[in-house]
Amino acid sequence: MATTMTSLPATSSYSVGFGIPSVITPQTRFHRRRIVIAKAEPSDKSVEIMRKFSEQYARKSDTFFCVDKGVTSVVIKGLADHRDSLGAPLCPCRHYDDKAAEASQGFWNCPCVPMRERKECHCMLFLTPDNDFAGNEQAISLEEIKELTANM
Amino acid sequence: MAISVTAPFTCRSWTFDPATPLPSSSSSSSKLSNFSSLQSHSHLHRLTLNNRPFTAFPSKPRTLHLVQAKKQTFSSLDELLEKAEKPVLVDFYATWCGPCQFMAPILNEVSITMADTIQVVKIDTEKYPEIANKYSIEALPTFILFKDGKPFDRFEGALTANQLVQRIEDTLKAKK
Repeated sequence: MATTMTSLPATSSYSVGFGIPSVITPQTRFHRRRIVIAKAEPSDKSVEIMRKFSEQYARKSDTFFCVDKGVTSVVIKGLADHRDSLGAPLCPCRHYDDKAAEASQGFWNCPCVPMRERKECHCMLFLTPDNDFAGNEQAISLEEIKELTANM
Repeated sequence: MAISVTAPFTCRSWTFDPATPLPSSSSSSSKLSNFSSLQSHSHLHRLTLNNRPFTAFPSKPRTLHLVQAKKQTFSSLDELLEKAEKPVLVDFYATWCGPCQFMAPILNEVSITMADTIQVVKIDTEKYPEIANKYSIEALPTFILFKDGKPFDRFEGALTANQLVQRIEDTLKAKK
């Protein structure tokens, strides 16, 4: 996605918020306006945690990653990003009115209720074998994730 | 990426950015202003933009310098929809949404092959939550096909280029 991260909110893919300087801390963000600003890149620690979680959960649920591992990589990073900013891996493939409230409520925290109950993952992270986009892998390395999201 | 309009025959994106950098802008977060250019079909070259999002550009010059281009400024998505001569396919996405990124090259392709039929616009729901709220966007990606400025068809999730083209064509044909 963005090739550089600038300090101007308007030109960066990753900083949001109009007139809010990009150095605002998470606490300030929550108090001042109820927008959660996505940071440019999730922390390596969170990415690793969500990567491991994804592998384990795929095995446990007999689901598979997408044939296009780029999708898997982006979602893992999205989960990691929410874990960093909200404390919980809120589903990155949804639009929310209030992310913080959703994260505490939990319905959309990965693995979300639709996934747990019906193996429905619209993020295309966990795909049942009959899904057109399902590959045959349940593993993904950190290198793969980095490589496939390098242009973002 | 903010709101970008993918042009025909190019892999170009236009971005609508909030008016904050401009001194005379209002503080309304829904105000968008940018210059976007429509290129005539006979000129396929001289692209100063590729598929990269606007973040690669310096903040001030949002004008696209293209040969025989028509510049248009939109102050909001509503205005864009109002002034559109063709149906507009709007893609509501988020940066870290896997299926949304999967759709990016597909949308490019479709905007080129269906250049005469539709115009493609992408909206970053994290940058423009008020627009996303207005259209009750939940799952991402959500596609809304606007005709005559009004939502005409709406669907969610990733699809292949063929499926997308089929859906758009069927919709425009059926409800004419």
